[in-house]
This record gives sequence, structure tokens and C-alpha cells, in this order.
Amino acid sequence: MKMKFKAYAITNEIDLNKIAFRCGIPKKYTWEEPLILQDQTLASILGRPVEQFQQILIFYFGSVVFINVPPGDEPAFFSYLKSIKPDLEPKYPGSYFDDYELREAAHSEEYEEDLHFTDEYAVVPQFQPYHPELISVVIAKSVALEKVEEQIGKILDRLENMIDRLEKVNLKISDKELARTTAGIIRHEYNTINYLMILDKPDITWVNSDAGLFYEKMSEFFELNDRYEIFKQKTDILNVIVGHFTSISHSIRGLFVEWLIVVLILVEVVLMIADLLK
Amino acid sequence: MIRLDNSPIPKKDVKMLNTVYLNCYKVSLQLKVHRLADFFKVSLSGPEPEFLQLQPKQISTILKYDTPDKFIWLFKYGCVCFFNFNSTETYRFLTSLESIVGKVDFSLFSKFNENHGLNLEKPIQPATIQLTLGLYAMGLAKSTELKYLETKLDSIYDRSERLVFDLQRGLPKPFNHVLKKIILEIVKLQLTVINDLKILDRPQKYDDLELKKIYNSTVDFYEFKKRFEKIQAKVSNLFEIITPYQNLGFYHQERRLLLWEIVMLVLFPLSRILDLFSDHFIPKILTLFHFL
Repeated sequence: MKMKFKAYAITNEIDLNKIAFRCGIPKKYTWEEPLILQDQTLASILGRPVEQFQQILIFYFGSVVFINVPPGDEPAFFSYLKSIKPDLEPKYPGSYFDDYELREAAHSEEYEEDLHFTDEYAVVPQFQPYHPELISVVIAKSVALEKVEEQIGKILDRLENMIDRLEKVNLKISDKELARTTAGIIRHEYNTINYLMILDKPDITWVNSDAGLFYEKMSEFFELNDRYEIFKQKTDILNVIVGHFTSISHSIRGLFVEWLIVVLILVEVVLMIADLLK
Repeated sequence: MIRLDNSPIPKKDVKMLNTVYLNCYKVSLQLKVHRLADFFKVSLSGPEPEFLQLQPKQISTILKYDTPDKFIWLFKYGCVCFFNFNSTETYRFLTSLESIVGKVDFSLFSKFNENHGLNLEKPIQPATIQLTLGLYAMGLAKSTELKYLETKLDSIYDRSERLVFDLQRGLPKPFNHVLKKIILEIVKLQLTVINDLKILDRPQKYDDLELKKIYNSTVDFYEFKKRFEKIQAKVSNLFEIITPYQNLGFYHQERRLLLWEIVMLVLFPLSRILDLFSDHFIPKILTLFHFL
């Protein structure tokens, strides 16, 4: 038996409660749990009856995971999502996505006992109810992290252009530009730490030790922690650079104001002397 | 199977192995990959490609003879990796490169170069070249560029001694050209390491488990992490020199300006003093002179 997963990172944040309300799901969603669309709810969105293991998981950090949903049904779901969240990028399906598969060892001749991971699929001794959710959480975080990683590259490019310009203009940067760059870095840090919660584990992993082990192995395989560390290193370097330029810019501006005061006083003194000599 | 390490080869394998070399040279500060791709009629993988790979067919157009087992990787940060090239062929290719991307810097070429022997167990398959050797070339090029950046950072370190002398004499100049140059060079170097060289990232489109392992082995072999940490430590040391230098310099200038402001403000009552002097004292002094 196989389960096919496809994850997309489509935006920065999705209001799950809004979707739950539209779907008639009487539940208040917190930031830790995904909204799971299945059975009748999913059938009403896709406009056709769905099978037992077909699900769509929506995460508040902007990722969507399709489980056993054929690619042909994806556009119908995205247009439904766009009707709730109109600011979604019109370009479907977006450039950040990942595929994965879950196989049961009983149906796979290669590995029969332990957990086994490859870059395309994972093999488990026996399907457990927590497997689909945990795999979805990891690949959803992975694609969202991929999006953040690419965006930090854009900030680095912008900073590189800024540095090239600075060579000509004596280390002066406008407050607007500094604020924009700082905001970009902080936004990405905020998205990664607060939204993605890379370092946080789903609740089930605290209750079930097998689930904990599975999640740990999955996140190790997708290098979530390592990638987060690299991201942190990059943002730290960027923060140091921007912080340094902010302090230089502030000091230059402070000195400019002081000079202006001196010049104004000097003009006043010259006028006074001229008045005296009349 | 390709071996990257320099450990002894087991005796039973010796007969089967064929040693080939990957040579990497820093030839300029940057290479215009797009222009090269246009010249060799190679389609690039994305808008910002890290490197351009030349196939035997393209190489033979430059060398003017058939080169079935030669490959070249040209990196945007100015490094070129040659696979299975001798020195004459390398020189010939680089001089022909000058007509496309400008002069090759042979001083960089002689200072920053690295090579590595690869032990191949069987003839090379095209698919292996595309991916596996590409990864090794990437590791070698990153290592060569890192060597260049490390040398550059050392020279910045040497120049920063002047700032320490200024500090010792109590004369920090915050608008000093040397300081400005040092700051920009450090920041550029940091951005080059993380954005152009992508020392912390694995190359894109190498998601295969085996390729991941190969890349990780090159990261360990060339000690990228340790070298990156060393660069970061040096950069933070430089900032530890620059920050108090600049702060003291700005405070010093600000104090001098405040002193000027005080002197100027003192001049304001001077007009009244002079007025008083001209109205009361000058007539009295003149009368006194007149009387005398």
C-alpha cells in the first residue's frame, strides 16, 4: 500500500479559521495544528466523491499538502482557496513544491523491519494513523523553508547592490532603504521562527514515542534543523551588516546636523559684525 | 566509483584504477557566465547560474582537436575547473577565453590554484560526468575561491593595523578612506561567501541521496565549515577594531563641533558689549584725550 504526498508553499500565512468556517467545520484552530479536509468536506470542494485516504492538509504558515489527491484535482482546490484568500499568487502551482511517498513494509519486498528513508519515499513496518500527518508536517515545513531560503537570497542580492552603490557615496544610506532591508530580514526571521516553528514538534510526538522517533528521523532526513541553523547564520550576518550601516548612517547624520548648527551660527555672527561696521 | 580521498588504495584495486586530475584556477574576479554560454551556445539552467559546464564538443572547438574525455566548469566567481587537461591545453584554453570575457589575471592564476586526483574504477559515463564530477569540481572551485578570500581577508587584517595605530595616538578619523574601504571590503567578502560562493548551501538540483553524500564528503574534505567559521571569527575581530574606532572618531568630531558652537554662541553678546563700548566708553575716552 502506498500514500502519495505533494506539498506546496503558496503564501506566508493562511487563516485556517476562515476556511474552517466556510467549510462548516465547527472548530477553533490554533497555530500548531493543520486544517484537514477530507470526506464530504473535500468532496464538496473538489466537486466529486473522494476515497478514504484522500486528504488535503492546510498549514497556517502557507503550505498545503495533498495526500493521494490526483494532480488533476489540484486546480479546483486552489481556485477554492483563492475565493477565500484573494491575495494568493495567481500563478498556480508555484515554484516551491515537493513530492514524497509512504510505503508499508508488508507491501515492499526490500525492507521489512525498520524505518527506511530515501529521497523519494519512506518505508514503515506498518501504517499508523500518525504517519500521514507527521510526513505532511515535515514536507510542508520543508517547502516553506525552501521559499524562505530563496527569499533571503534576494535580500542578499539587494544588499550586494546597496554595497556597490555605497562605494561611491561615502557610506550614506537612506533611512527608507535601511528600514526596508532590516524589515526584510526581520520578516524572514519572524516567518521562520514564529510561523514555521521549525524547532517545535507536533503534539502527538510527545504522547507516542514511536511517533516521536518517526518525526525525528523524518526531520533529520529533510535536514530541517541544519537548514534552520544555516538560515539563522545568514540572518545573523545580515543583521550585523545592516546594524553596522545603521549606526554609521546615524552618526553621519548627527554630525551633519551639528555642522549645520555651526554654519547657521557663523552666518548670524557674520551678519552681526556687518551690522556693527555699518 | 570515484574516490576523492588521498588514502592508500587497496592493493587488489590498483590495477583497475585510472587516476585523472581536476585542476582549478582562479583566473579573474568574476566571469560573465551568460556571455560564455552565448559564445559556446550552451543553455543555462536558470537566470542566475552558478557555473557553466563545457562538454567535449565545445572544448574541441577551442583546442581544434577531438577531446572526448575533457570537461571544463566555469564559475561566476572567476574560477575555472579543468578535468583531464595538461598545462599546454589549459594555457591554450585560457588565452582563447580572453577574447570572450577579457584579460585573464595570471597573477591570480599562479597564486590561487588547487588540484585533486580522482581514482576512477572504470571508463567515465556521461551521466557520471554531468553530476558526480560536477560536484567535485564545485567543491574544488569553492575551496580555491575560499583560499582567495582568506588571503584577501588577511590583507584587510594587515591594513586594519593602521586603525589600531590611530587609536593608540587618540586620533581616530571616522571619514578616513582606509576605514571606508576596509568596511566595504569586509561586507563584500561576507556577502560573497554566503551569496555567491554559497558556502553554507548545497547546490540546487542535487537532491539525490547519493549526490548529497558526495557533496557532504567534499564539504568535510575541504573543511568548508571550519574555514567559514574561521572567516567569521576574523570578520568579527575586525568589527571589534572598527566599531570603537568609528564611535570614538564620531564622538571626537561631535565634541569639537560642540566646542565651536559654544565659541560662536559666545559671540552673540559681543555686539551688545561693543554697542555699550561705542556708546559710553569711546566718547569718554575721546573726551579724556581731548582734555589732555
